[in-house]
Amino acid sequence: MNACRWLSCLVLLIGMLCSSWLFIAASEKKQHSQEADSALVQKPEIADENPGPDVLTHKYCAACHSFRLVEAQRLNRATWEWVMEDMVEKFGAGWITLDEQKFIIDYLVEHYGPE
Amino acid sequence: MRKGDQQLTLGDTFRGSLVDRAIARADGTGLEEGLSRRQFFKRVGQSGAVVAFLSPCGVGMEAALRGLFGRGLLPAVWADAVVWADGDALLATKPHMTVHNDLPINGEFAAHLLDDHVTPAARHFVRNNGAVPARAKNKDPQGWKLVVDGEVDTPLELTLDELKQLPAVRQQVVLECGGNGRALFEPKVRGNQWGHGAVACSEWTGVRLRNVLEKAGLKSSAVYTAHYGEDQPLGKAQPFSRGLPIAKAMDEHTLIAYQMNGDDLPALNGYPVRLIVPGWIGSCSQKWLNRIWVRDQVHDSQKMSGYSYRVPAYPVEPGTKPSKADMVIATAWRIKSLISSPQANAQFLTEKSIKVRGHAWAGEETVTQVQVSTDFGIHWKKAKLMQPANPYAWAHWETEMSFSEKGYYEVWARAFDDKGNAQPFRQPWNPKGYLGNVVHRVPVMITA
Repeated sequence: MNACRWLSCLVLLIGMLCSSWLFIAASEKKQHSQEADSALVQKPEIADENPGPDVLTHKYCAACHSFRLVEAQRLNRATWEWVMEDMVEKFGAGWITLDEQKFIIDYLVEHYGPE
Repeated sequence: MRKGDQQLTLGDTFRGSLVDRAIARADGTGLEEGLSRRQFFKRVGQSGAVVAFLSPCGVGMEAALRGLFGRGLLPAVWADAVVWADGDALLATKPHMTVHNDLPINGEFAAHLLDDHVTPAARHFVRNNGAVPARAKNKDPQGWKLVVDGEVDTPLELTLDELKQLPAVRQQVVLECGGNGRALFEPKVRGNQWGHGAVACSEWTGVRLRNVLEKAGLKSSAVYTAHYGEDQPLGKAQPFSRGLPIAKAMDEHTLIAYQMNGDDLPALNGYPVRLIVPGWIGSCSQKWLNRIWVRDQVHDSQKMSGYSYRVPAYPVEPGTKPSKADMVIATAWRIKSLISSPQANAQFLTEKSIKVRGHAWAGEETVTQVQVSTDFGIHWKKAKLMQPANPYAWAHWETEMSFSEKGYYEVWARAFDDKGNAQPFRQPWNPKGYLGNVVHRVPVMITA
């Protein structure tokens, strides 16, 4: 009986060691392939409680990249919506609320729409 | 530059479709400051609290601040300021570059600045997706190693010295950003608005990727390579990573390069080591390379999937977005040419003989002919075409033209390859603006 309990304890201990090793190995591998998973994307702080679309757009876009990239483009609504979708879903700007997204897209279409 | 702000000069109405505005003002003044330093401090710094907050970060922070403040636009997270430091110093290594984006740095050169047969390091375009690694900025090879793992018999970790023990290969290679020519797409497509100058042909020294893969021993399950570099990605993006089918990776011309034009790689172009994948879109040539993961399937990173570096499998109506399932990986470049002289908007007298010259290249094919027109394609003159220095180098061409009457003219160049392909007169469209190869048109004014 005692021996059986010892054995189960040992199995449990080995299991724990193995799983923690696997966890560490996995996280190391992740770290290696996704080196420096940066936290550059954070919601920028805006002093104004009700910022206009210009402030919102400039601040939010420039949280990650230069605003020049935006200014150089002349895109229609569907394409700006596509850009926004990628920023939110792929590039970590998930903190932009749906209302803000619409606000920003309207601003982009008005100022950086097709000529 | 905002809508309506640009100054119209004579001919701009005609030239609208020739080059994007950013290139039109490629006279070295490309780097405009969105916000002056003074304005910035006024708006954000006020009492210098920001500087006080950052000062514990230590030596180099002054330069970091200067680099960031100089361009006025700041990443939201101050603690990461150092990642983006030295932007000014890096940009200073590329004088006269038309900067499309400074965080991350992306820039090209006006066509007339690409007149050299072998592109100098200072004139090689920059297409970055993330921050330039500290190692590259400091030119510090200590601790760098290249990992080769995945579907190999013996995973490797090579130091720079170990890599350099393999046989060295030196060759001129055209590198071209997959989005070069994007600004010429109609309707407009998203992304850096590259004109004609995100292309270069420098001389690269390195070892064959094939030799490294053979050293590791490819398993029969090996299908594709996956490349990783030391650059820190933007935001929460995945690390920038692309790959190659094994056949292209094993091609004798595909290199792991450690020198450009006989010197260490520039910080902005991949120090200490990068891939050079001739003929294929630039993103295949991973910069700041530190890992090659051999995979048993087509590499499926973010930049290999969806619409990234992919084109529709069939021609699409301009402005339409096919489903993801209809998108295929963009690989080799197509027949293309560049007019490096005369310069856009140059003025000449009638009857004066004008030297017209440039380069032509053709991805995996061979350039067979270049023709030049100055009357919107009615008449064509065959240019003298020189042999490229080696396979995958660009071929130089030249001819002379003269004009009997004053007026507005455009010099057009059209290249042909050995498979019967030629450059199109209108740009075929795809949703992300890749592989643009429409004929290059350079406006000139002939005065009496």
